[in-house]
Amino acid sequence: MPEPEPSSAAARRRTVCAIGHDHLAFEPVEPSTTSALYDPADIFPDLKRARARAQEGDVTGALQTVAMQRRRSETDHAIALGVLARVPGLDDALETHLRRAPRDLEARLLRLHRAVLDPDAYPAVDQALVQMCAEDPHDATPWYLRILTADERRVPAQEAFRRYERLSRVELHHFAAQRALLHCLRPAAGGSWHDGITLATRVAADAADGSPEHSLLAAAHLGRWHDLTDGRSTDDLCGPELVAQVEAAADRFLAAPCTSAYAGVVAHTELAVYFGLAGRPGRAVAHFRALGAALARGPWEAAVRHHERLTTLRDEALASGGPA
Amino acid sequence: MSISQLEADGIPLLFLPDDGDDCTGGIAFRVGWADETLAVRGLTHLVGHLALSLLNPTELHHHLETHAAHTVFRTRGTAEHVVQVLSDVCGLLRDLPHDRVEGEKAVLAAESRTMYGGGGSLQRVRYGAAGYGLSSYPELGVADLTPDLASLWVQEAFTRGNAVAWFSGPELPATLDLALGEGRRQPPPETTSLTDTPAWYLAPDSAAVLVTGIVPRSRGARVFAEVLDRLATRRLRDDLGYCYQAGAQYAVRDATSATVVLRAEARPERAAAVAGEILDLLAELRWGPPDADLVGAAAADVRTETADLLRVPAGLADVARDLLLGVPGAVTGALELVDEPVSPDDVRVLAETYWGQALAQLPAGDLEWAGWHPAPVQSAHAATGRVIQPHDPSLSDVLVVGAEAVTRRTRSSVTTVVFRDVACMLAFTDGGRWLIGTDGIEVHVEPTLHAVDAGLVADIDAAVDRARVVRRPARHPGDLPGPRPAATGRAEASPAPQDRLGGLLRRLRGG
Repeated sequence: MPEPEPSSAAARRRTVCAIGHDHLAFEPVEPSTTSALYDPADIFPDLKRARARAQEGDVTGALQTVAMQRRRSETDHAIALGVLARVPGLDDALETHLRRAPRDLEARLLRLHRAVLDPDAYPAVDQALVQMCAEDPHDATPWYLRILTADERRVPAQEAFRRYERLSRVELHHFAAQRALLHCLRPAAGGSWHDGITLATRVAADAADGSPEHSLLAAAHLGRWHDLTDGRSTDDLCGPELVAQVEAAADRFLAAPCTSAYAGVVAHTELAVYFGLAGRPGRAVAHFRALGAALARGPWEAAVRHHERLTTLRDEALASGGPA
Repeated sequence: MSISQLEADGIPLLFLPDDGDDCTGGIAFRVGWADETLAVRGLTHLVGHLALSLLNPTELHHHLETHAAHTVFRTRGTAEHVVQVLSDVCGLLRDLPHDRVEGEKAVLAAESRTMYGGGGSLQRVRYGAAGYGLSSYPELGVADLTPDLASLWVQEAFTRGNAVAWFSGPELPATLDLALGEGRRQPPPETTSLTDTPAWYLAPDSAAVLVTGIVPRSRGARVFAEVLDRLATRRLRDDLGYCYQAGAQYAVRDATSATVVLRAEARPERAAAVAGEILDLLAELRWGPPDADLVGAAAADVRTETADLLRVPAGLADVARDLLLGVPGAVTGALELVDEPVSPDDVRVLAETYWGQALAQLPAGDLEWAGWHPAPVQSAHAATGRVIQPHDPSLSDVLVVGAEAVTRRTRSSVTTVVFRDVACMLAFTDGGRWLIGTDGIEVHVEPTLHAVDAGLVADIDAAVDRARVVRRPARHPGDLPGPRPAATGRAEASPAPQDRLGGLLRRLRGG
C-alpha cells in the first residue's frame, strides 16, 4: 500500500529531513544544478585530490590517499583504488614507480585493478591476483579484485562465492565485494536470484546500523526485477511484504551514521531507486536528498525506463534544500 | 640389523636377519603393465596368476602385486613355506602351465568389473594409451592372450637378469631355489608427457577433483606430499566443508620421479570452488609465508614412517623395486630414505615444480582463468577420404575414412586416429570397430550409427596392424549405440595372414 503523500511542502520537508543531514558523514558537493555526479572523484574532495595527483603523475601522493582509506574501511579503500584505476594515462608513471618500489603493495594493487578493467589483460591478471592472495591472504583487496575478475571471466558462481568466503574471513563487511558478488550470482552467470537474495539477507543480518550492507536487499531485488522484466513493469517491486522488508533494511541503514561514506552513495541510490519504483515516493525523496548531486550510475541506469518518475522525485528532493 | 645384498641362482638376494614369528620372502621383476601395449593389457597380470597357480586361488592376491614398472611375488610364514612358495613361483616361470591359461583368463575377466582401469582418465590424458597411461584402461588384451604370448613375455621379462629376491628370517635358508631363465634387465617404460602444463580437462562423470604432478623422488618431495595432504584435508574438508574426503599421496613412478596425486571428493556443484581452493592452496605453498610448523610436523611424520624401512621386512620389497629401477644406493638408503632436513623453502620449490607439471581432472568448470591449458582431448588434424554419413540425417556426425586415418567429426569435436598409431582396435563381430590411438584419442566406427558397409570395415581392418587388434564377440543388440538394430556379422573382415611370431612380438613391443 503506497505511503500517504505529504499534504504540504512543509510536511514534505519534514519527511525528507528525517534521514538526517549528516548521514553520509561527509560533505558531498552541493548541487549547483540537477545534473548528477557519478564519479566518486567528482563527489568526494579527497578522492578528487587523489585523482588530480594521479593525473599529474604523482603516483606516490595519489597512493598515499588510497592507503589512508584502509583506516576507514576496506570498502572505502577498494572504491578509492577504483578511482585511480580509471585515471587515463597513468600507466607509464605507475610502471616507473613500480620499478623503483617493486614491492609497493598499493602500487601493485593499482596496476592489477587497472588490468582488471582491461579484458586483454586476462588471464595474467588472475594469476597475479592468485599470487597476491597467497602472499598475504589477510589483505582483502586482492580477494575483492578476484571477485571482479570472476564476474568478468564468468567463472562459475560457486567459485565467485568461494572467493567471497575467503575475503569475508578477512573483512566481513566488504560492501563493494558483496555488490560484486551479487552480480556474479545472477542466473546468467550460473547462480540464482535466490542465492543473491539469501546473500543480501545474510550480510544484512550481521551488519551494524548505518552499514550500506542494508541496501543489498534492495539491490538484489532491483537486479532480479531488471533481469526478469528488462526493467519494465514495476509490479514485482511493490509487494507489501517485500516493501516492508526493504523499509526495515533502510531503517537499519539510517539508524546510525553511514559506516562508509563512499559506499553510502551506492546504498542511498539503490534505496532511492527502489522506493521510487515501489510506490514509496517519500522515502525515495529522502534518499535522493541525502545524496545531493551524487548518484551511483549502476542502480540509476538500471531504471532508465522510469527516469522521468525518478527524476521528478530527485528534483523534488534537491529543491527541498540539499543535503546540508 | 641391516640389509645384506647376496646372490642366489644368479639373482640379487636381499637378506634381513629378523627374529619375528614369521619369515617373509619375495621376488620382484622389472616388468609391469606400463611395459605392455594396450592390445595385450593384462599380460603381466596373467603371467603372475600362472606363476601362482599352485596356490589356493583365494590367497593369490596376498602374494601378487602388479605395478606399473615392477611385479612382486611375496609370501610369509615359516621358512619352509616361504622357500616352497618362491620355489614354486620360479618353477612355474621356468615352465609356464599352458593348460591353465584359459582358466586364469576367466579369473582375470571376473576381476575386471569396470570398462576402464582403476587409474581414472588422468594417466591416459597425461601419457596417452601407452606406458604409464595404460592404468586408465582395462585389461583389454586378456581375451586374446595365448600360451605362446605368455611364454614369450616370461622369456623377455621374468628372467634372472630382471629379478631381485629377498628373504627375512633368523637365517637364510640353504634350500632356496630361485633358478630362472637367462635374460637382461629391462629398460624403464617409455614415457611421453603433456607438453603444455599446467593443464586441465573435464571429466563430467567423475565425482572428484584430481590433480597430479610429477616431482623428483626425494625426502623433500615426500614431505611436500604430506604437507599437501594435511592442507587439503584441513582446508577443503575441515574448514570449508567442500569435500567429504580430500588428501594427497606420494607414489614412486620410476628411478627418479614420483607422482603426487591430490584428490578431493566433492559434489559436482562444488567442483569449481574445490578446484579454485586447490589452486589457492598450491599458490600459498609457492608464494605464501613459510609455515615452518606445518613443514616440521610433516617432516617428522615422514621421518617416522621411513626410519625403519631398511630395518624391517616390510621395507624389502621397496628396496628390491629400487634395485630393479637402478636407483644408486638402494640397499643402504637413497632418495626418500635419506634422512635430510626439509625446509619450507624446499617445499616451496617442490610446489613450484608440481604446479609446472600439474594436470587437473575436473567434474565441471575450467581453470583457464588461472592460465592453465586445456589438455588436448581432440585431434589437431582430420582424415581426408571417404565421408560416411550418419543414418540419422538430422545429426551432424560424420566419419571420414582415409588411407592413413579415420576421423569422427561432430559439431563440437574432431577426433582422429592415425592407423599407424593405433594402440589397440577392438573388433566386434557385429562390425563395430573401436580404434584407440597411442595419444589416447578414440574413434568408434559403428554400423548402427553410420552407413558403414563390410568393404569399409575391411579397409579399416587392413589398415590396422593385426598385432593391435583385439577381437570381441558381437554385442547384445541392446548394447549397440544408435537408432538402428544391430548389424550382422557380414561386415566382419577376414584378417590378412601375417607372420605369427612377428605379430606376437609386435603385440608385446610395438613397432
